[in-house]
Formats: sequence, C-alpha cells, structure tokens
Amino acid sequence: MNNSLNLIDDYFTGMLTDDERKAFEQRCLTDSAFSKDVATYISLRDGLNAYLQQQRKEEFAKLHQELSAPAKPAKIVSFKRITLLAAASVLLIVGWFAFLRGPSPQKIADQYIAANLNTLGLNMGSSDSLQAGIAAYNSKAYDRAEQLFVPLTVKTETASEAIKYLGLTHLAIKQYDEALKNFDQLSAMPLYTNPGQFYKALTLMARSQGSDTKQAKEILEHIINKNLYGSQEARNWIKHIKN
Amino acid sequence: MDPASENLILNGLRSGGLSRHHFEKELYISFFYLIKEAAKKYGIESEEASSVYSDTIIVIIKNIISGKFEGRSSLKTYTYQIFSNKCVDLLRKKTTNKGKLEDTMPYDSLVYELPDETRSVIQALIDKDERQQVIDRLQEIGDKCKELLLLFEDGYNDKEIAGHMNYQSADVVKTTRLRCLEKLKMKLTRILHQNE
Repeated sequence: MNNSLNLIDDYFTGMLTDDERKAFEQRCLTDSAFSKDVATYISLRDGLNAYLQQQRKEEFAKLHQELSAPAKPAKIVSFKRITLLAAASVLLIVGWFAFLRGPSPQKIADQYIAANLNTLGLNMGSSDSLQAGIAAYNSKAYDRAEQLFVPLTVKTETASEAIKYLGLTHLAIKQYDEALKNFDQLSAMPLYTNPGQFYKALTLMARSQGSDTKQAKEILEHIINKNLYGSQEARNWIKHIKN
Repeated sequence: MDPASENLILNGLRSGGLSRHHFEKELYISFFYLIKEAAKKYGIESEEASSVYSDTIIVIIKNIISGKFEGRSSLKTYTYQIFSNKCVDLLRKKTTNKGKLEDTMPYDSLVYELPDETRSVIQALIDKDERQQVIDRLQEIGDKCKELLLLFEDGYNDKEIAGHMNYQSADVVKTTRLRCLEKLKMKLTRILHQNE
C-alpha cells in the first residue's frame, strides 16, 4: 500500500488534477491490487470518522442531560423546619457580623478590578483591532470594545487574547454570566500562562450570589495548589472567603 | 436566533482552531428546543429525538466546515429541514420495520466521492465490519498518531495540524499522518488474519 497510499490520499484530499483523477478512477477498475488499497483506505478513514462521531454524540448526550435537567422542586417546609431555620438564621446573622470584620469577597473583587483592570496595557495585543478594542475598553466604551473583540475570538491568532479581553469587558459591565462563559472558554485553551481560572474566581467573587463564593474559593485553592496565574492574590484573598 | 449570532457560529466553525469546539456546542444549544417539538410532532420518544438531533448537528457541522452549506438559507431553516428529514426517516424505518439499514455504507462514507462505476467496484471490496475494528484498534497506535488522524478526520488540514501539534511543516504532517494510517492498517490486518 505504501506506494499507492500517497496517491490515494491526494485523490481524497482533492490534490489531483482532472486528468489525474480520471486516471485514478480508471485504475480502480483495472488494477485489482490498487482497488483493494483504495477500499482499505476508505475503511480506515470511515472508521476514524465513525469514532469521531461516537465521541461527539457522547458529548452531545452529556450536554442534553445538562440542558434538560429539571428545575429543583420547591420543598415543603414543615413548622419544625421553620423553627430550625429561624435559629440558624440568628446564628447566621451573628456569624455575618463576625464575618464583616474582614472585607467581603465582593469588595475584594471590586478593589482588585478598580486597581488593576480599569486600564489595560495597550502594548499587550498584536493586531490593530485588538489594540482598538483595548483602547475602547480603556475609555470605558464597553459596547464598542465588545463589538471589536467578538470577531477576533474566532481568529486563531487572536482568539485567546480576544476572549480574555471580552471576558474583562463583560466583567466591567457586570454581565457576569457572559464573563464566566468567556473565562471558561479561555481556561480550556492550551496557553503557557492561562489567567482563565483566576478571572473566573474574580468574577464569581464580584457577583457573590448563591454558591459563587464557595465556588470561587475552590478555584482559588486550585490556583494556589497548582501555582497557576494569580496564585499570589489567591493566597491573600482565600483568607477572607468563608463558606 | 438573530443573523449576528448565526454568523458568529458559522465563522467560529469555519475558522478552525481550538475555539471551534465551543461553537459546536453553541450550535447544539441554539436549536435544542427542536427535540421537544419533534417528540411531540412525530410521536417519537425524547431519547430518539435527541439522538436524531445529535446526528443532525454532526452533519451540519461537517457541511459548514466542508463548505457544503453555502448559506442560501438561514442556519435555523437548514437545521430544521435536515432534522425534520431525519425524523421522517426514523419514522419510516420504524413503521416499515426495516431496521437493516446498517448493512449499507454510512451516508458520509468516502466511497461516495467516487463516480458510480468506480464506486460499485470499490464498495464490493469494503468489509463493513472493518469500521468497528478500526475503532477498536485505534488505541494501539499511540496517542500522538491517534490525535493526528482524528484532527485530520475532523476537518483540520495538514497546515493547521502542523501549527497545533508543533510539526515543522504541513509536509511533515502528511508524511507522519500516512505512516500512522499505515500503522493502523497493520494492526487491523493482524487481527483480521488472526480471525481467519
């Protein structure tokens, strides 16, 4: 198969001229060894394709499960439970006042954003549009910045930077859900130094709703343990985050 | 879905690169509601509708990447049409009890790229069981070979793979890719001989 493999691959990747294609198709009809090689090549590629599809279907099935997860049913609260809840609330209020002695995660995040993310370095980007987006961000024209960053998120050479800046833009205008999506996407990218997880924790702290701070704490612990981007800040912040 | 969001998904899928995966999920989520509608309209199980929907999205991703989807209709219309056709196919298959369609070649087999006369000759030589055996043997050719072959099969060209996997050039990727195919073939042949 060695000699013919190159030719067969060229045929199926569209590298042959019309005449070469015709000669190839004719050879399949007259040269039985060659036609067997073509059949094997197709079997291999079809098998690889089937494997890919299997994988993708499994991913989609997971996504389907996540999207179809029913909302949690409302709990029926008994009188006894109400009493317990009231007692717990008193304890919580007492705890809350103790907790207030240190800055809240939300306040830490706001302070960090104000000190470090109000102005981004213009020399960080490589493309003109990226620079224009950063300039718009710095002048607080966040809608314009978003418009400039979005198309750059799909270009291989600018994707990681653009996704990061888009996330920071969403964070600046308090579109936390969007920012979290951006930082998740950034985290999944194979970068030498990836700030995705750190910015995700920062966003969760800034939002501080429901289990946000708990989740932020877990991420910060991970950043510290793995010595990832932002580990120094993470060490300082984690002391102030209580579950 | 508004045209801007559609364009974002289309450009994201066409541009290749690592962010493509994200846009595949976005596409899946965009028309997810069709599953419920189809289960109701065609009277099929939700699981079946979900499986047909996954197949639909896989076909659409492939058509967008290969350029078969030319944008003559909106992505929404295109998805709806393919999904509806597939639901009808499923119903037909169920009602006529012709579950033996697995014996035919998969709809996206490379064999369909050959002209009719050549195709029938080659098709007769293809052992349909080999597809599963290829899947089974894939773990035996090494992680790098596996990744390279799957990236190529996923529509990335040799040049893109060179960038992604740190190869020196597209030519080096092609040579390595063909060697990996050869390796997979050897594994397959050994098993087929053992079974004889």
